[in-house]
Amino acid sequence: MSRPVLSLNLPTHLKTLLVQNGYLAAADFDEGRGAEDLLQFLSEAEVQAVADLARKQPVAVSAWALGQNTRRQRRFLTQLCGLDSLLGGKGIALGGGSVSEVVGQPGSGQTELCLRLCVAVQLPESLGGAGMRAVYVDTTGSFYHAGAERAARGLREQLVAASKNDLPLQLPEPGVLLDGIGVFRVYEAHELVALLESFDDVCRELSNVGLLVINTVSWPFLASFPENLSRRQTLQAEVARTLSQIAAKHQIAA
Amino acid sequence: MVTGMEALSKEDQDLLARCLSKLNTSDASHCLLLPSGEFQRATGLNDRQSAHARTLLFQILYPWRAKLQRALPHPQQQQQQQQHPPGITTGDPRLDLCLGGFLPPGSLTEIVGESATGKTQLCLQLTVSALLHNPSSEVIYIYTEGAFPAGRLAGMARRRTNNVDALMRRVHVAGFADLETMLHAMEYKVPGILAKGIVPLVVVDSVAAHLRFGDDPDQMAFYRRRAAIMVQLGKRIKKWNGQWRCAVLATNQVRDVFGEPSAGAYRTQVVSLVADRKAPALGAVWANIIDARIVMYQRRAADAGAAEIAENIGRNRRWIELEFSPWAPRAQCEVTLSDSGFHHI
Repeated sequence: MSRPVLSLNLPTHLKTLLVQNGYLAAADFDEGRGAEDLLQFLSEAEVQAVADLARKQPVAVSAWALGQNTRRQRRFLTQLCGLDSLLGGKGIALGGGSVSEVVGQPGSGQTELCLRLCVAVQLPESLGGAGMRAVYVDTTGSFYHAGAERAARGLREQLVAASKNDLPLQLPEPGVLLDGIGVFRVYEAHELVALLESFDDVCRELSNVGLLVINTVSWPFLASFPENLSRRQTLQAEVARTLSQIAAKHQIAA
Repeated sequence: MVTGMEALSKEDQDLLARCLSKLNTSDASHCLLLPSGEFQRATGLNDRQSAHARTLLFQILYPWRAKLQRALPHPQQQQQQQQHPPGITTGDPRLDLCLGGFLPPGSLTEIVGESATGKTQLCLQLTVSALLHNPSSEVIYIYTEGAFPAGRLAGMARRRTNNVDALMRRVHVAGFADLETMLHAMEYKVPGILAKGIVPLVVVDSVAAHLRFGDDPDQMAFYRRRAAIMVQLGKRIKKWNGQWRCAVLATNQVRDVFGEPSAGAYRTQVVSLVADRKAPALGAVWANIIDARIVMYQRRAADAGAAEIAENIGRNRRWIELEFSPWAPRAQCEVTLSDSGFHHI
């Protein structure tokens, strides 16, 4: 049994073109009609994407297989007292399409939490991290070098204290930890949309990105539509979907 | 022609021009403020053209490669920072420590407290420091509560420099009797002065004066309109922060809190003000816009009696607390007010 083309995870315009040219199921790609045929109406990059996808996606995935995937997901501990146990002791998962939301009163520590996560994800697996980089999207001007440095130093001190003052050899220097955070300053809602929709390229070029933090996701929409709640909500819903897709596609915690 | 479009091929430029005219706008950002489905329907493009047009818009409106910054400052920047603190200080090193060293460029900090706690005094002190730190800098001071205390500013400056007149000439003072004129000036006049590139500090003393009370009989409509105005104001200030790297100080008043402060309520409660049954005015909208908050108060313990308060006022004793900020931890210190400003006790 072969998957219908329309059910593949491809951009809509590609699927429309494929169907219009008679490709109705994933099996149609293999049966001799080959790449030359596809190149008549698709670009090379698009043909590659289609071929990759058709090979990978089975018709249906069993719950067992999904369970296995979940067990194999990389995770990282937040290293924050209490929070890790609240989250079940295994840390935050990278991927699986899950997006976490942090809500709190001004001054309750959201920015600090974001910075600590950006540092914690970079720790090697032996120390509870995932060994991956972080991307911090700053929409309110909340990112300061001093704050980031405090987060990095605070984490190091905490780990040193926990290991009874015996400095773990794999613990990176604060400079290295800060270098592993890429920061984007975004002022308006359309800039946030543009950045998130281009995130595939960002991941490809930055490589090894494990965490995407947006501080905060609500401000740009409030700023662009201060009086129009429904417009705000529609756009925010689309951004939420994009975030979930990013998280799933690139195995990132968002 | 939108900036960035010149680099595109002729077909791409035509495609985008078609989108803009179909959406009846000359502002490319409007295209991305529509959900993608609506964008396609409104422009009448097919799937592929719509996806391609949107990709072009992403590249033009947010070229991410150019926007990516490092978390660590450039080594050259780090060296400069070590030589002189690149932010706003008070002039008293121990008080500065309490505020995290300095108020960084590009920050929006609120100073809140009951009347006569010294909010304006602190603003004036920070103004003098900013002007002394860089002899060619200028400060913009927006004053909305009566007459600007020029005498006090001169007095403070006299304690720290001989060249008082020159310093006073570098302060642009603007007073506004109502909200409209203030907003108009902030939209048109302030950017003109900021464009000189030598303004490290803008003070708005106070933000609350013209925003707290309206003449609208419908309360909810007033709050909605006020929220929208505050959001626009916040957006404008953040643009100044980003473009000119100036620090902005905004003073805020307090309002009374009726009933018991409930622990679970989503309300802007400031611990040091709760005991006095006060909270910052302007609500959660403004509290979410500011980057940091400095609280000034006169008595420390919740059960301080009238005698202690009178003594504190007599001795000019206050407490200054950095309640929250993204660059430094919470800290508080006791200060006393002298001719040259606040000093750590």
